[in-house]
Parts: sequence; C-alpha cells; structure tokens
Amino acid sequence: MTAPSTLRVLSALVLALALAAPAWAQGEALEIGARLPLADRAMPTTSGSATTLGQVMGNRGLAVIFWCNTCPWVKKYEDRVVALANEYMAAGFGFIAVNANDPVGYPDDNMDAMRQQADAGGYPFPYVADAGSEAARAFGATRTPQIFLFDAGGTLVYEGTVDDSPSEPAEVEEHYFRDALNQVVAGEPVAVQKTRAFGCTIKFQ
Amino acid sequence: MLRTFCLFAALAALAGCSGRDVDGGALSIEPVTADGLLEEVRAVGADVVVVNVWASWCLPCRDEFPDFVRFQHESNPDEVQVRFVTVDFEEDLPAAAAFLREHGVTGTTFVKDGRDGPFITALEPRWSGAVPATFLFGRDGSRLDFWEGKVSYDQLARRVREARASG
Repeated sequence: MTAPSTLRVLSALVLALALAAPAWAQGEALEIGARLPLADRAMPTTSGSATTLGQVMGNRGLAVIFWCNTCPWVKKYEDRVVALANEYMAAGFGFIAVNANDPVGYPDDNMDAMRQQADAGGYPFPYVADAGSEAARAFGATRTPQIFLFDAGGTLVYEGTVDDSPSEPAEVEEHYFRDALNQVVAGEPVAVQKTRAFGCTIKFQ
Repeated sequence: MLRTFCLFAALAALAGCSGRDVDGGALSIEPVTADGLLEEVRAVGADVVVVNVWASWCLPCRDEFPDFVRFQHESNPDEVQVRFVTVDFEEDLPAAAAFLREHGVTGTTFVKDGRDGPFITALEPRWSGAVPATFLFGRDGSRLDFWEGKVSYDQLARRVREARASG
C-alpha cells in the first residue's frame, strides 16, 4: 500500500472511531489519590450566589456529589444524603451537590427546578449548576448520584455510592459513604475506596 | 427476591403465567442475577448477544430502545439476538412492562436481581453503573464490547458488525 493510501485509510479509521464513540467515552472517574480538580472555579448556587469547591472544603474534607433533579436513584437517596450532610458537616466536612446535566435539553434540571428541589429537600449544602458539564468531565463523573470524597488535603479517598441498598434503607448492609467519612475522621485509610451502583447517565452539555 | 412479574397482552389476561413466550405474545419480566444473565447469554446460541440495560424512567434509555427493538427484528437470530434487562425498582415494573408492550416486546425480558455492585462488576468491571448500558457477548459468553450511554441504530449496527468480525 502506498503512503497516501495508508494515510487515507488511517484518517478514515480515526474519523469512524470518533463518530462511533458513545457517551461512555467521557472518561474514567478520578483515581484514588487524585487531587481535587477545579477547586477555584465558581459555580452558581440555588441561593443566587456562586461558590467554589475550595470555599466549601471543610477542615476534615469535602464531599462532592454529582446530583440532579429527576433521577430515581437520587430521589431514593435524597433523605439519606441530607441526613449524612447534616451529621458530617457538623463534624467538619464540606458537602456540595453538583448538577452537570444539560438544562436546555432537560429543563427539569434547570436552575429554577434545582432551587425548588433544594428548598423542598431542606438541603444544608450548596446545590450548584456545572456549566458546560466541566466539573463532571474533570472528575470523570458519569452518573447521578456519584460521590467523590476528598480529605482535608484535597486528596480523593473514596468514590462511589452511598450504600448497597438504594430501594430499601432498612436493608442496607454496607454503609460505604458513612464508613469512609468515619475512617477519615479517625485518621484511618478508607477500607472500601471505590464502589459501583446504578444511576442515571449525566446528560453532558 | 423479586417475584416473576408476568404481564399478558390484553386479550390473554386470564392465561397462566409461565414466564416464557406463549401464544398471544405474552410478556414476562424475570428477575436475573449477573450469573443467571451470563448463563442466558451462553444458552442463546447466537454469534453475538446484545444485552441492553435500561430503565423505564431513563430518557436516553427510552430514546434508543426502539432502535434496539428494530435491530432485533431485522437481525438473523442465528447471528444476533437482543436481550433487555431493566434495573427499575419493583414499584416501577408496571411502567416498565407498559413500555415494553408499547414497543411490541414479547417473550422473556429481565429485571436485575440482587445488589447493584456485584451485578455491575460481574457483567463488566469497567461499567460505572450508569444506564443505559449495552454489552455484546460472543457465542461462548465472552465479552466482546461494552458501552454506557445512548447510541443510534447505525452505531449499534456498526458495533455489532465489528464484534462479529472479531469474535
């Protein structure tokens, strides 16, 4: 095969792969030990102001939770996440919920709807809009809910879900997120660092 | 443990519930673990088995679903078969059944059984758990391809074609 023909074949292959790339090619989630990305990036909150991940960071660490308004898994976990936030914010953790969904393609995830949800749910933490889904891409977040827990130094120590029973709180056997928070408080290594659970794909902008 | 959820076409509402396709286009949604699903994949006997994981409230899942149904109908069953697995919560199974019926799905489909984490990692360790997700398996149950997120008919057809060529 001559060089120009080879180049044409390779170009066609690259183009075909690009066109074929589905949504999961957004990227892998941050690895344990990664540094907190976009710490100084301002994101609008449902209270009408703006905040950054760095500003929300607590003296024990920060929980960044990719969240939205419409996902049944988010709804199943909402009370539990609010309860955990109330408990562990008092212990020195910052919590922040981040909605990276496209608010134009999915109006149920626009700022007005976010504000209603935060008010109705009594969110004690900021609920912010991730313009352009930039934070979701930087974190490698793919679904909601998806938790990224950083220690006070901004190092990722846990990534995954709240617990192992989204549908029935009474049937929870593994409290993954609570255990991680407690281990950080105790100065111990997080034993279960990554977990998998179902959730709704982030509707990237 | 989820009981088998059987739904019949309107005119066959009083028939017995076998969990398998019967005359009249009966639909059943059977609980399945990851191991059970992989056994089903191996039992199908096609070059490629497409497993689509979806949920009734998931908009991208609903968007791509008709393309998967059409692809199934247009494929030679010796070459390609499609299996649907919903991850709906139990209270949402009637909505899932209504959606399947709306799209002309009959026979046996599945609902995830057991804890999320083990189901996800058994099917594919790289899968984050986001839905929709699609898996391509070979005749012997080997994993050929996987992706998260919505795809078009053409993308699905291309991925299956490539999997058949590589299998």
